[in-house]
Amino acid sequence: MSRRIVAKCFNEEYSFTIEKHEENRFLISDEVLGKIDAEVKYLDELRAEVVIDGKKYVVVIDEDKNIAYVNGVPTKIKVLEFLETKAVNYETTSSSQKNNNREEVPGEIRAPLSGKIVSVKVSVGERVSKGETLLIMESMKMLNEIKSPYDGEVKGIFVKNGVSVKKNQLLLKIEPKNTS
Amino acid sequence: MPFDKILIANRGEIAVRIIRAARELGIKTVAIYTKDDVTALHVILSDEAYRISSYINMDEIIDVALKTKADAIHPGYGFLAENPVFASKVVKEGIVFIGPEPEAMVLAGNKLESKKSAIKADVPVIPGTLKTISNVKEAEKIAEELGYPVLLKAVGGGGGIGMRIVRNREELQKYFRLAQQEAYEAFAIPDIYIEKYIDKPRHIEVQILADNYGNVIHLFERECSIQRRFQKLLEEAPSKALMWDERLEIANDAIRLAEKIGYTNAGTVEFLYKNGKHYFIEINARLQVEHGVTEMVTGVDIVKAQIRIAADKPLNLGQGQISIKGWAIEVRINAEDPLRNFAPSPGKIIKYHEPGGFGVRVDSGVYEGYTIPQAFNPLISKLIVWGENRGEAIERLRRALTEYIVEGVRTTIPLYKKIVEDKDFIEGNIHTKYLDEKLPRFISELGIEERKRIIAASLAFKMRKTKVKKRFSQIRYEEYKIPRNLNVWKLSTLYNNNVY
Repeated sequence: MSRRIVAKCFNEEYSFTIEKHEENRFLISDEVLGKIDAEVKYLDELRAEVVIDGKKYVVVIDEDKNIAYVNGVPTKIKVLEFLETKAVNYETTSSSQKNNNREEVPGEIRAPLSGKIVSVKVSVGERVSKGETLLIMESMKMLNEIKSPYDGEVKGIFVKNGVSVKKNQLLLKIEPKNTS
Repeated sequence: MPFDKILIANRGEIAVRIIRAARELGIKTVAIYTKDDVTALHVILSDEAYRISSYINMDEIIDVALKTKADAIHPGYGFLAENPVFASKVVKEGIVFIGPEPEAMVLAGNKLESKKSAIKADVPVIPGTLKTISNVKEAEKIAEELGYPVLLKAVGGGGGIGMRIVRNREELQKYFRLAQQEAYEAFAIPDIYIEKYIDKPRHIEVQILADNYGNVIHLFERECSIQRRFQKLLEEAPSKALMWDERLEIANDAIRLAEKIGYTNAGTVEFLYKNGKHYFIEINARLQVEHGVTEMVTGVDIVKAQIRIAADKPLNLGQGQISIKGWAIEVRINAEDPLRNFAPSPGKIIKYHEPGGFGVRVDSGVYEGYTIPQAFNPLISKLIVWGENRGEAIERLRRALTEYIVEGVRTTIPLYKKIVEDKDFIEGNIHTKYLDEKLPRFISELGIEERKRIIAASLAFKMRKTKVKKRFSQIRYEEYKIPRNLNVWKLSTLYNNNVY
């Protein structure tokens, strides 16, 4: 069982997953740092010692201001999502065919379920390859990765982080392209 | 004792720096402060302090000087330091202005006139026009002669404001009008002139001291090539780029210019340097932020020299007595977040420890418990190190940076820790675009630490089991408290009783 954490820090979003090993010990998966160990020890209600990858971080929390002083560095932080995840991946080609009656338009990526957009992973003009995660959405307390059905170029993004979407709502436009 | 009392028309570390020089000379100090600065260090350390509405309110400042019977006013840098109107007003009231004559400030403020003076003094300048260019046709002709790229410069500009690089004819046609308009909006003078653009030069400047009796000496050069958006971040003295003959040539050029224009007090002549050639760019008619590195290698206290010169004393040093000993490097500790485009990071300093030991100097305007106001420039202190040679100075800087603790606000310290490890910096391969080129790498390296901090903070926020009963304010770091609403007269008393 792993959980996904999305934290907003100075208006930028950071997301990573944590998996509990044993009491207070976790395995973190982060897209930049990779897999790292973390241990949390509480000193009191507002102070914790977090050891990440062998290095100690003393965190002092000022909850009123959403600021944590991490080794004294003021870190404006708001933890947005804290969800249990099961690895459910919707490949839009198959799911949309199964789940709706609408004629599928090539290049359009639509929401397989209603839910909330957690994180858009691509930007307009970006080249994507088949199977690449385009965005992450949350439906019924589960995180779903929407993956690209083909190689192509992102032509349009119609949602942003935090918005709610209905089933079949247009999310992205991707022009299929052969990678050569 | 040249004066009995001087007023310091400034704040922060530079006001503290001037208080220290004055106190050593046995001169009493009057500080001024605004509503945001009631607890500022310069207010605590001065002998008297008066509240004013703003640091640029000339009449109020002069009024305080008159009422406290101050003999002189030191403007520091920034605010009113290079304002000839202020300097004239001060003198008119019979108060001495510690700085150059207003005429020198007017000249220094006009880039084109400064350049003409440099040519008259036989000081090399950047190839370009000596008159303002009003139409595109003329501009094109000149640009062809100089060869692209060229720089469009506003006559009233300076400090990197009002400049535009133009790389070809199309760009010139596109930007000429715009540059005029920008110049008008920024300086109320639309005049533009054109210079050859020098790519990746070094910034080298010469410190000069000139008394009222025609004696002018130089204190050698500083190199300030490490800049971001024309703001200097790291300065050193001397410059690694110069051979001895070049060093003397540049220094003597600066002296000739100062003599030609009859400059008095402390000043800086700035040059660009590339491939063994130097070009005059501007005169800074003030004490500069980075004056400390020169003090460290020459042993001359520049602020004391300024005060003596202003008191009409002849220079007590001859050029022959000035030499360079060792190497000094300064880093400007700004309350800015290098990871977020250097966004200001005001707030309370909850923990503060300055580095020390042999060869380490910190000129600071803050203390533990002090809240950095949002209203002013983000410079909180200058860490200056001295070493026998450049290598030792870098090692000492590296050591001092690891000792420097500033908690509660974000600072540029982590960035400097990256610079002192950088091979090009260590080897002295620096130029004015050095930081632009290196920043992406430094930032991505700093970003890794940031991610770990965010993970640590997120875990701490979310994994705790107990509900919060305590509030942050109850367990806040040990606070250094200045009692609220305490009038400033008592602040000095507080200091003298060693409560601080």
